[in-house]
Amino acid sequence: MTTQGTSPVARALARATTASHVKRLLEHPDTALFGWEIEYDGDVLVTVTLSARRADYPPDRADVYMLTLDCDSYDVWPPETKFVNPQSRTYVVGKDAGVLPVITGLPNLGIHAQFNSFLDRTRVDQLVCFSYTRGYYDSNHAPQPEERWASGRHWLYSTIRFLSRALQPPYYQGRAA
Amino acid sequence: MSEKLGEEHREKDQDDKVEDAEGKGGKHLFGFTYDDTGATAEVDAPNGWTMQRVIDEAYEELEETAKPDDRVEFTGSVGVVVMTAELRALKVKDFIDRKVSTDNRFHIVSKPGGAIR
Repeated sequence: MTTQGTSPVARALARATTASHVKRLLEHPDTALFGWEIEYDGDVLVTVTLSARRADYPPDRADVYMLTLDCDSYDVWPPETKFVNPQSRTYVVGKDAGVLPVITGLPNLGIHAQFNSFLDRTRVDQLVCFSYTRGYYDSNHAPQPEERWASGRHWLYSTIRFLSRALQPPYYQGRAA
Repeated sequence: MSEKLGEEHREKDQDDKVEDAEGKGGKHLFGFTYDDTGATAEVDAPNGWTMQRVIDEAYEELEETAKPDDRVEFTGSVGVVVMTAELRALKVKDFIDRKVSTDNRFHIVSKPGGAIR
């Protein structure tokens, strides 16, 4: 099976769903438990700061990652998810690969610094590859039915929590070179 | 059908009584989060239950079905610990007495779709 890629959702609808889910996210106990710092631009962009820890780090050491979740097709489709440079809050291919984490051993997660097999052949971009990110569906992946993003069931939490877990032992290996 | 269900409930109640007795009547509260959806549930478990029974009850509370690849994780003294068959077989009282978990909060982790084309 080949996907046809995603498409934007009517802005007002995407904005309303995003706003509602950000509120829900802020109230979720895991936001405080895991120290997720959440910023919302009032439109469709959610920015989350996550802590990462390697198994050999002392308890007071953590690496910090910034993640943007662009919800312009939410929640028909999952958020477009990228690790970004905390200074510029963007990701420039060929320049910002150092803002990516190295994750090993976690089934079904791939983080690509420069992915060039999107359905849009002109697109070269970072791809955080699993079925709760929009890029996954824009790059010809075909999940099993039970693995697909399901509007109304999956939400911002699902994407953030999976990546938050990936940034902990035994999966997190440090920053990309 | 309803007679059979009633029978099953009676058997379950009987099991609970036996397990309560084995566990000397104590109960412990376990919190669960289903990472796929963020849904949460609490299970108030008698000492005599196995941890597997606690997990099964959590799935029921969450209205989810256990998938073969699901992991149950919690925070132990050395970080995140995955529930093994050995830990699942422990009685609640033993699990608590051994201080296996720091906060008795569990995450059920399912596998999303991945990079298989």
